[in-house]
Amino acid sequence: MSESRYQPEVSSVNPVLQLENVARLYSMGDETIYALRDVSLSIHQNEYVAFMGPSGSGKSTLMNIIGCLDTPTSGSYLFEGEQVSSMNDGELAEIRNRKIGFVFQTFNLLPRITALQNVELPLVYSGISRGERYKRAEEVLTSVGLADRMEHRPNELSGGQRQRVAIARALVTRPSIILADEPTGNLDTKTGNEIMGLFEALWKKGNTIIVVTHEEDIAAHAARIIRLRDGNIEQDVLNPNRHIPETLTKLDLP
Amino acid sequence: MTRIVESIRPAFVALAANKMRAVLTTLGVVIGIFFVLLMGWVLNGLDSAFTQSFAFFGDDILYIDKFNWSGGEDWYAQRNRPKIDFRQYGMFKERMRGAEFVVPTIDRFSTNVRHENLQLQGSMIFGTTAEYIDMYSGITAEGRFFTETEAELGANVVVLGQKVNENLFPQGDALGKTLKIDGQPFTVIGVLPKRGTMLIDFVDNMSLIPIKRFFGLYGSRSSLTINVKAGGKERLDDVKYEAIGVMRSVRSLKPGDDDNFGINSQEMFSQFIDITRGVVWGIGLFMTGLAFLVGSIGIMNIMFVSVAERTREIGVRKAVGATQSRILLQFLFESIILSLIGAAIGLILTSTIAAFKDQIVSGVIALLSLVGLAEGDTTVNLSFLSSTIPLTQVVVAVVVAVIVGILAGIIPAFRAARLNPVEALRAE
Repeated sequence: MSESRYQPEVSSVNPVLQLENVARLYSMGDETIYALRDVSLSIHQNEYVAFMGPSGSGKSTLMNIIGCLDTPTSGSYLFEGEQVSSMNDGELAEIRNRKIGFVFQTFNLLPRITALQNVELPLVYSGISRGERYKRAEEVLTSVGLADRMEHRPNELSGGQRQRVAIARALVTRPSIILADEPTGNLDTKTGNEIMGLFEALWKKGNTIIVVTHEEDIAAHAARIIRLRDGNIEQDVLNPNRHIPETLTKLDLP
Repeated sequence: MTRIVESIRPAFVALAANKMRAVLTTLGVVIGIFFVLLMGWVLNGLDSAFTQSFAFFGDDILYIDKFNWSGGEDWYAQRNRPKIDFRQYGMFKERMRGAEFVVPTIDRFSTNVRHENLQLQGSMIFGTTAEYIDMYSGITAEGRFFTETEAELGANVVVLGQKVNENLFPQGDALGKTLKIDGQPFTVIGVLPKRGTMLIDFVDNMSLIPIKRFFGLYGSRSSLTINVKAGGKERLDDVKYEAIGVMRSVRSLKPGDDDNFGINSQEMFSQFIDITRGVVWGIGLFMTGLAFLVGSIGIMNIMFVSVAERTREIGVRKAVGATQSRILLQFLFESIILSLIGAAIGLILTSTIAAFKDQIVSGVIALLSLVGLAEGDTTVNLSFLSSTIPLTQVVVAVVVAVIVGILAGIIPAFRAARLNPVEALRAE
């Protein structure tokens, strides 16, 4: 099925996440739709992976399952060795809270609160004290270059700034993976490049990054590209011609 | 605890974004709380009026009368009972051991009490003995009560209730004046202090004369009431049993006969208050129930709207780690706060009414007199109502508001909590 299978260099290290024969199907009336048919893959610490595929390929469903927003219909999904498939709402919420940082195409910041409060939000749900929350949110916002925009509301920020707030929100819990869904989809090319530069810097710092995109240019930044089609992995390869963006800012990233 | 605080904050943020809508939504609760507080306020006033009025009478006095005041037996049967006359009173007083005071009273409505060109119709004429004043407060506001000699002789002296005094002697110069009761002259020797309230004002609308004089004036056909003061509430039951026994012997009843007299106590008055209470409660509960029903439907409705509008926000919160219970709490608090805002507005409204009750009533009277529905100089004594809402009422209002908030918010909050995060994030 898959033309080639990427093998991690250090196979002895336990993967961050591991999917085995994962399927996800939806019933719509009498019809059953396979969003994912049979997906198996592992992602290790400090990988930079792009999921590619046309719409309907299952990449969004795969991202939802990896992000613990959804659970597989069948198959096994281990996140840091723990079986996610059988988790309840509370356990899934905790994994999302502590282990996963989401970056969305539409930023998904809460409109009525400040950038700082948006970044604090995940920490609110992990029960961190107010003072500590403020400190950490401020730190991360500063590191993405928004020290002077902390008290602004999302509608007072540019698209690029909003996405940086969203990235700060994803980073603030020091997650195991950063999961970005079309992170540059709503940005112009220049701003998009800046964001990709930010991901590059984060990756260099040791973060694990998964980017979901249908744009070849964006996928080209990743070190490994997984192509999906009709709910299956079509191709899973290392990217020999990585596009390395300019990191415009010298950021002190976590 | 922090969970709760953290759930309250977003609720405030959300409500602040739609202030006008929030306030309008609470209208039902505002009205509901308004009625609850108004009802509590009035009932409270009734209670204190009742206590005030009967503080004067004392709670240890029995009234032996031809009639049972509480009704009970057939009124026509009671009407055929023999009257209690002055002789029976004398025998009763002689045989009664355990009572502090035994005092006869007899009353009827006068056709006319007049002083010069001022006159009063339908006030009460009270015949009694000198002991009357000792049995009650023992004080007159002005002058004195009549003496035993005056009572014995049936002197032409009168002690006025406060209302009679105010009506006939607006200058406050009653003492020593002569007035006419149903054509007969009486000298005013004393004035009683104000004893009643708006609810029970007949006690001030009376003139007291010696009982012998009463018989001279009106004859002795009507039945009198024997007032028996037990001398302490704890002695009331003992005195009551003794009084029944004594009265039966005075009336020469055989062991099998029913009592042909009534032993009444102050509690009988409370039946009157209870009816008033019942009416206030009935109306109040109906209005309140209706208002809260409308109020909670309003809040529930707006909460459904709020959940629908913020589907995306719910998705984001879930994505960054909010559990179902956190989302549930957030929306439940929003609904509770909404309801509490309504309660606060209701409280302000009622407090305003309580604080300005007199001005409001005189304003209404002025308005009514303008269209000819009331006399311009009508006054209503509202002193039985406090000018603030009692704290217990406020606590009740807050508790009710919280309950309404929970009931109205629980279904929308559950809907929010159970939203699928993937679908919620896709929402517009």
